[in-house]
Amino acid sequence: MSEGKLRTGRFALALAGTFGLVYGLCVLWDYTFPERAVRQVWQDLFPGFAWTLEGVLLGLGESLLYGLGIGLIFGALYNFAPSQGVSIARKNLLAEKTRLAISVGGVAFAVLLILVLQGLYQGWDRRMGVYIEQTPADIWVAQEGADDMFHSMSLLPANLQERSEKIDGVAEVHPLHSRRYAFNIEGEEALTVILGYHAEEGVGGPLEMVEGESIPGPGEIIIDRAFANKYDLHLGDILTMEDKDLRIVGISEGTDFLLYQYSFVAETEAQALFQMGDFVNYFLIRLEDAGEVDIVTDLIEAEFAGVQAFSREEFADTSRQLLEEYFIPVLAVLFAIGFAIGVAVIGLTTYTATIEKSREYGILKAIGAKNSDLYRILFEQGMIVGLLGFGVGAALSLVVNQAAAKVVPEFLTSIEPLDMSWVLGASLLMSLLASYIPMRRLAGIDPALVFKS
Amino acid sequence: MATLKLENVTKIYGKGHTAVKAVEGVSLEVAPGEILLIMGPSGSGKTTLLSMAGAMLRPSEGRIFIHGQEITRMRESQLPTLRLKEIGFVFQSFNLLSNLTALENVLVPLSWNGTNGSGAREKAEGLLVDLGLGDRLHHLPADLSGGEKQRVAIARALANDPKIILADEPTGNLDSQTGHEVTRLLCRIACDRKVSVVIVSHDQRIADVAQQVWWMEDGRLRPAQATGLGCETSVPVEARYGGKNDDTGSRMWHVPRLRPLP
Ligand SMILES: Nc1ncnc2c1ncn2[C@@H]1O[C@H](COP(=O)(O)OP(=O)(O)O)[C@@H](O)[C@H]1O
Ligand SMILES: [Mg+2]
Repeated sequence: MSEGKLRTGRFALALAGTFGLVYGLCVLWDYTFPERAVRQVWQDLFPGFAWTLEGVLLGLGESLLYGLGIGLIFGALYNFAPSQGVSIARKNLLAEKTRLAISVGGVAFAVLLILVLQGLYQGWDRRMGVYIEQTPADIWVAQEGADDMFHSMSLLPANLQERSEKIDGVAEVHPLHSRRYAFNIEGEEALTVILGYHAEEGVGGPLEMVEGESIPGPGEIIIDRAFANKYDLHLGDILTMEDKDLRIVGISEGTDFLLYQYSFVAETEAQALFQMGDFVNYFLIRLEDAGEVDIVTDLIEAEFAGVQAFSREEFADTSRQLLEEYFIPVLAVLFAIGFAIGVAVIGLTTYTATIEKSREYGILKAIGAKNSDLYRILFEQGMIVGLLGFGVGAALSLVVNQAAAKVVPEFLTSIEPLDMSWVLGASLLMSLLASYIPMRRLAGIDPALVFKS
Repeated sequence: MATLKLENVTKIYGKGHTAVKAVEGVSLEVAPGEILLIMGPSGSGKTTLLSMAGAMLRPSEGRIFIHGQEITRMRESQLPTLRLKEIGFVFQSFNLLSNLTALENVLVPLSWNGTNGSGAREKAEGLLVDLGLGDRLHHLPADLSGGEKQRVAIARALANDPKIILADEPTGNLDSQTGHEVTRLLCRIACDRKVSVVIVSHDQRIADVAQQVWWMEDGRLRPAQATGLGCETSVPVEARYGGKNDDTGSRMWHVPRLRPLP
């Protein structure tokens, strides 16, 4: 059997070596030409990678492990699949094209469902933090317990501004006013979060304009496109807040958070509207040296009781956690459903195919096939169906995402190469699970039956 | 040494009052190149006997040896490889894989035995060409005639150079002329390749070339008269079997010899 066999161990080591070498070259390149660094492209592949000695070594270890893992898996698959002989699996699959289409469709559907959901989730997850990340502040100060912009309302005394300005390392402090509010639009409650916009400092404003003015004046408001679409609002329409009329002068995007969207009024307007008096919702701090974030947050928390200070990344992360808390369980259930549908469809088609072909499996046994030879046929069938299904599903998901982004801009998705690889793994696993029941059936076939005609 | 040897083999299907004694106390010995014919009415236990000789069914009693190796003592997991390497099967209903071409059907046992690539292809093609199927290599079974299918099955049976061919009514689904050709092939194989051929058949003409002829009834074997010519004789198989002008041709119709001996 040695002909055409891959020496898995050596192959895996060679692959690990190659991966390590390529990794080393990438690191060397970025080190030598920092202004042309390309690590944005690859560093996400190496969890824990950082531009420190430990981080770089960790990345090296991970690249070696990737090579080893891929080499071992590929080698095992290559050797287990019948390499040069006749592929009974392929012949059987091709002889039943309708059945093949159904099984491939089952996997493709599951892959499509999982990838689109995953893409949606990631798109939203990214968006949840994007507003905070794009606001030019190094530190967000909030009332203790108000860990994010969505869950809870933070209230801070206005005089904290002067006191924080005195802290070492602080360059500027800006108050941010926000209020959750439900406009009454033709009897419907339209929930939004209104932010007060300091146009000069660029704090509290819209992210990206779609149309109209980008700075709201007195009596004016900018709303999110998703909000406008949902309630059929247009430039020039009037929204009323406690007897005060606000005219829509701009429509922006990038601040749609599923349950509600951000709207923007002038900072002075916000103070008056919200009747905040001596209170502020958040303080946004810019530092003299952005590298001192940790030191300054500690100083602030030590200085003021009942106050929490977050670095920009921390605050963005806690905002993202909201989505994670609500949606990960839902996603998990939907993933499981997609997976189960995939397994059921392939399982059913493989099972019926096996029963129909059970006499032929009996013939194979009679002329000398071991059970493992027959399992190999099922295994190969599963692999082919899994790979084809993944290919079709992945291609469809890209098309669906593109089309959806064009038709419904709020439909925000992002599919990453890494997702593709775990979904590929999942679809192969689906196919393998689905071949398990027919396998046991194969083991029970009595070869002596083939003498009966 | 005998290629195949059965010692007092008995097979009882089922238990208690539903038990059926399909084969009872059968002993046999087949030498290399020898042709053994088993005849007998339907339900007499011929297929059961062949299944046991082919390591597909375990006897209730008795011992079976292939090339001196006692297969009745082998583990279940060793039997497939034994069937693959040592035994070639030819069935009444051909039993080809329907989605595979003639060539691919022959390649399958080769590949399980570790013969792959161009070597396997050459061997499979050689066998098929030898059996007169040179222009049918890439046909699916559905596009072949009965005789062609059975010849593909014979090529498949020969793929791994087995020592024994077990053929259960190989001509049962063929017309007389085609059946005649297939039997001639099996005889030639026994002679040319020194393969022991055990044939279960109702075709009384085979008795002319078989060295051993047995009559089976109610699970018991009784010797019937054989000509004993086999392939040891200097007369070529073609002349002995199916030849039109020689006296052996007429002997084929000498039916009474094939009744069981008293
Ligand atoms: N798997 C089985 N289970 C129970 N009885 C069987 C089985 N196979 C055959 N028999 C019985 O054993 C006897 C011999 O059958 P078989 O070997 O097929 O005979 P033949 O091939 O001579 O027609 C018959 O009575 C048949 O009904
Ligand atoms: Mg029979």
